[in-house]
Amino acid sequence: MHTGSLTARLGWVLLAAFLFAPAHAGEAGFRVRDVQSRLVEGVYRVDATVDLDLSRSARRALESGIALPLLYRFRILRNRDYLWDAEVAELNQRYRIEYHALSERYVLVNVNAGTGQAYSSLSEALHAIENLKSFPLIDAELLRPGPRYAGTLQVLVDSEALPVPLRLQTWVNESWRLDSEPFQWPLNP
Amino acid sequence: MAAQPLIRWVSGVGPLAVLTLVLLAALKLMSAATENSATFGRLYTLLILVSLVGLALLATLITVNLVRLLRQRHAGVAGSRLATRMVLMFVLVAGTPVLVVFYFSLQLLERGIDSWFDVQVDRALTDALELSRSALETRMREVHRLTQQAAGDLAGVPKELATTRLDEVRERADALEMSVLSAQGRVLTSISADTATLLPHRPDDAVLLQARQSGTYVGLDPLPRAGLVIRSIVRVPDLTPSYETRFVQGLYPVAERMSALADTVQSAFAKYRELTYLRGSLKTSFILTLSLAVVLSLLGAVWAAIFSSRSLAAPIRDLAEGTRAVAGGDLETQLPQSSRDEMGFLVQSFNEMTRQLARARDEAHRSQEAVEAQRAYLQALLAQLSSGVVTVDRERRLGTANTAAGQILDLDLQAETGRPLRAIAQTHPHLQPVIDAFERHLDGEASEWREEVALFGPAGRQVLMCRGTPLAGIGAPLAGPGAPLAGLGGDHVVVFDDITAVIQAQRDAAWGEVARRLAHEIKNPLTPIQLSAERLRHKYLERMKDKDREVLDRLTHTIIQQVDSMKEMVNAFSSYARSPQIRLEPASLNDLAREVVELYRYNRGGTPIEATLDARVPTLELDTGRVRQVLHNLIKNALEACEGREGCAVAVRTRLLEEKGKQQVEIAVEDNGPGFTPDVLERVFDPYVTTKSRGTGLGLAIVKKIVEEHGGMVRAEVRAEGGARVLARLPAASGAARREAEPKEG
Repeated sequence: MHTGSLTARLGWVLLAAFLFAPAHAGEAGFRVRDVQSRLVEGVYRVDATVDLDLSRSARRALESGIALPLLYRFRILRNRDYLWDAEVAELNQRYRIEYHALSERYVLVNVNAGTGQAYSSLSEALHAIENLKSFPLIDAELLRPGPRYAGTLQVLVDSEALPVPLRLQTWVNESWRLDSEPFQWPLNP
Repeated sequence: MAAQPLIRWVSGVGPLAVLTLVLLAALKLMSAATENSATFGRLYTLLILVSLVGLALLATLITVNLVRLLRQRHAGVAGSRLATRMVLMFVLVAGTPVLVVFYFSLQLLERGIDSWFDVQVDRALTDALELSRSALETRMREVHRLTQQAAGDLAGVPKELATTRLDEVRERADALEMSVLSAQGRVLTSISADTATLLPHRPDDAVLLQARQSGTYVGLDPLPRAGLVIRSIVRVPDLTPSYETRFVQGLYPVAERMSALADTVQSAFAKYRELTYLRGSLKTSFILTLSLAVVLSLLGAVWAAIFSSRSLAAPIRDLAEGTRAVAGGDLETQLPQSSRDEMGFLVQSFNEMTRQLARARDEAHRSQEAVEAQRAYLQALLAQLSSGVVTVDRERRLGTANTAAGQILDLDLQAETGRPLRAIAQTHPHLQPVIDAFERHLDGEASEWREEVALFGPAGRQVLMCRGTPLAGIGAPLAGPGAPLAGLGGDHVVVFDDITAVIQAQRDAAWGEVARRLAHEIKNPLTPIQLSAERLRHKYLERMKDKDREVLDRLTHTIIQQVDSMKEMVNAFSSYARSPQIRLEPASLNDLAREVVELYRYNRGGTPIEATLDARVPTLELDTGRVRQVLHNLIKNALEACEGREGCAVAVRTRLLEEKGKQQVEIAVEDNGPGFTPDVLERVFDPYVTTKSRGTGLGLAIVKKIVEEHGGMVRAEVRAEGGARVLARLPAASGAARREAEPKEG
């Protein structure tokens, strides 16, 4: 029994280690629905609407005590006519969702700010970060006048912050492929 | 061209060793990362990538080496077969235990990780969690009652006083934060013990819903900074129908001790649940790390095998190539001394061997040169010998012959080298007697032999004194390999000398002695006989009468006449035996010949005589009187041979010859008379050999003697057209040379 399962596992590991299976968009996953930016007092602020739909594997991991790291990756790009867009800045907003077994509540932690909030359900916790309101993105002074700028937002599971043993799974297991496609919007006021 | 150094560099120990060390370090870090080490956890992905790339690189390098090895094997490079076999053996020896260990490690890993998890532990932790909740429930009930009291206190309080009252209530209830919320959850007013907290902790929608539905809510709330708190919500009682529904929310601390214990239980429970969940992934990670380590070990073993086999096979390859070079004749081959082990000893021995071989070759070369020099010396010596030297091999073939041998036998012996003796005898029948003598003694067992052999060649009768000895019998130093005589190419050596002249000289000397004795013994009584006869005649002739007188006269006349004849004969003997001192002076041979011929022009028999004289004949150093006698004797002999023969004529010729750079003058006197019989021809120049009824038989003997006194030679031959021919050759050399040839006797 052991041997058989071990052999199978070994084969799987070796296969998986050398073949990085391409991601397929399943039902679960993250999606950036809309991002809008506005210039408020010299600072570009962003309103973003995101769908965070966790897969069963992710939910189970969460319920099993694994802290789920989420990453909102903002990139500021300067459009160029004859070359690819140049990246001007990158801003990573990190969240972490944990399940607190004693209180049976989900704790959403804003890693950047160090603050947190407990929620009775996972959907509520997720919902709390599905709508970013007036998120400060970049000081307008950092952008040169003239060129056209664009922003992209990608929401993903920060696999590098997952426990090491689970990291392998996120590389090879499709149910862990939750990352959204980068969403691009024009940044100019 | 640039590929070779690259391959050599890649095949070297450096890159592979560094790569292996890097991989080992990466695997060690991976192992640490799998154990949830925070430091290496961040590098895990990088480590995996480094390991995989490194292993791929290592595999590539090893493949390059293996392919190279297989190519060498295919090309039949020395040592490659051994290297291949060693690689296989190394891999088997190293790989088998690694794989066995790997198999059991996998099992151990599986069981080890499984053994971490136990149902009882799981239940205990769940119970502990439940216990914690139960322990907190008392406190929850207590704080809920305080919230209820606060709600009562706030009932009917106008909005403007609500904050003040709330502060009093919070202080009384010892709450962390107390807020008044609208039915929609909006914070109407809030008081916090922590003045740094700006925003009140608003309940989530689910909590609010429950509060709205049941009027109360109490529950635990983990807050990132405050830790575990109790959230209690109670509806503020309605005192008037128009009063807006409000809720009082209080956040209460849990006793410090209780909070710490609850945190511990929560952490342990969460950790255990996490581990349980990650069990499969953990095994996978460990197995991956282990597998990579095994693959690294196997690749390392293969590499070590290739490297070791190459190191071991290198001196063997060098030895093989060196041996091939030595077999090809290159004795200067020296192999690089690589190690101090047995292989190094072997290389050292090989180098010593080639050095010795080279020395031996040089010595052999020197010996050969010495032998060649000796051989050349010997051949030069043989060439200068007046004796003929020939060697004959076991198959009776002519081996070597020196120049003198060819001259004596009047034959180009170099052309006959290698031919069987019998074949030579068939080609040159006049050599049959000497070859018969050779063969007789070659069969014999005598170590040395000596025989006098007479043969009849174009130059007349020749007597050879042959001495022979087998080469094997004269000792190894001369006949063995490398010996001076070995180069002569035979196993029997025969030395011979032409002793014809010696014998002739001996014979001449003997005859001279006889003549001298005869002259001496006979001449003495002749004079008294003649005188007595003359006295008899003188005394008694006149006294006697007719018939007696006639008888006496005839008898004494006869005596006197015969005594005269005897005197003449004795004088001839005397002149043969005791030649006067030769006196050389420049003279023309042609003039002498012409003069003598003229004397015989009108001879008694009327035989015509012709002189054909070569004008090129130079003036020679001659004793004219004696040369004239030679011409007299020869012409006289020829005329006597022609006596009574019709059509017989005598011819005298002179001519200048040039042989081997030396000038000679030849006088030939020939007739077409009866010639010489072979028996006479053999000894025609001996005294008393004559074909005539008259004469002393000394004419040609004297001719020979005078010619030899002039340093010349004479021979007689039978003309092909009939008749005899006598040829005398005189050297056209300086008088000094000829004086050396003057006779000692006389």
